[in-house]
Amino acid sequence: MSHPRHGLDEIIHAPVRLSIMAMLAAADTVEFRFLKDEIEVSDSLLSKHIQTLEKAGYVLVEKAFVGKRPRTWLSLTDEGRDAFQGYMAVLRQITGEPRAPEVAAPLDRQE
Amino acid sequence: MPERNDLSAEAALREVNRAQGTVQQSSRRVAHLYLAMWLAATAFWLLTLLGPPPIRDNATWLLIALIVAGAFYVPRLRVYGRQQLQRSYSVTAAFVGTSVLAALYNMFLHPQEPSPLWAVADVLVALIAAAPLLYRALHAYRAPGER
Repeated sequence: MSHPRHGLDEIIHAPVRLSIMAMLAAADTVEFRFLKDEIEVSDSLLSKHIQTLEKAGYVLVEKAFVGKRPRTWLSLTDEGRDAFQGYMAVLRQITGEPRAPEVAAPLDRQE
Repeated sequence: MPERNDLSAEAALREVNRAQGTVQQSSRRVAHLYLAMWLAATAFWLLTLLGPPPIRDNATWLLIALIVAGAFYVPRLRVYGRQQLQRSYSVTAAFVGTSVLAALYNMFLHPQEPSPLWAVADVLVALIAAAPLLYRALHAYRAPGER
């Protein structure tokens, strides 16, 4: 029987991409600048990881103006949300931690 | 090709909790600010409508302090979400609307020597004028509280 760690999604299981996915799972949309400040990475590195997630179909990138300022908003696709929930299930299986409710629904949806 | 790394499962879980905590903190900061503004706005209208003349005249300073504090802190709030931002704009517009209505009430309807019945109306007007701020604060508090 194979170890559960083989079930970890390697696209998500990378430090920066994991942080991105975790934040997006907790909210409907997150602004690029917020992610950059909280994850403490450069614009270019964050963009690179977002592109990887976008190519995998996990993240949706939308650009819009708020007033005169351009802003980039990110959200999880249904596929991305399923992938993250699957990833968390494997993590908990490995660590033996019981399922936590906090990734079940994003904050914006609860509001 | 996804990059490999040696992130342990425990470290990954800790990072998920930390990252999601930052989103919750952002909601709480918004909630604290709007609650403080609600208290200040309610106090302003109660003092303006019910306070004795010297306090009534100086209550304007409370409103100025409220506007300056809001103008300073709101742009510095680290808002994460588009809906969160849109909700703040809607609430600000609603607050401006209720404040204008309260000001019109104070200018054209409110007597100089109000009877006790007018005091009840004054309290209602003060509560309604500040209500959008309380609504926004409760919305922001409820989100992380349910998690």
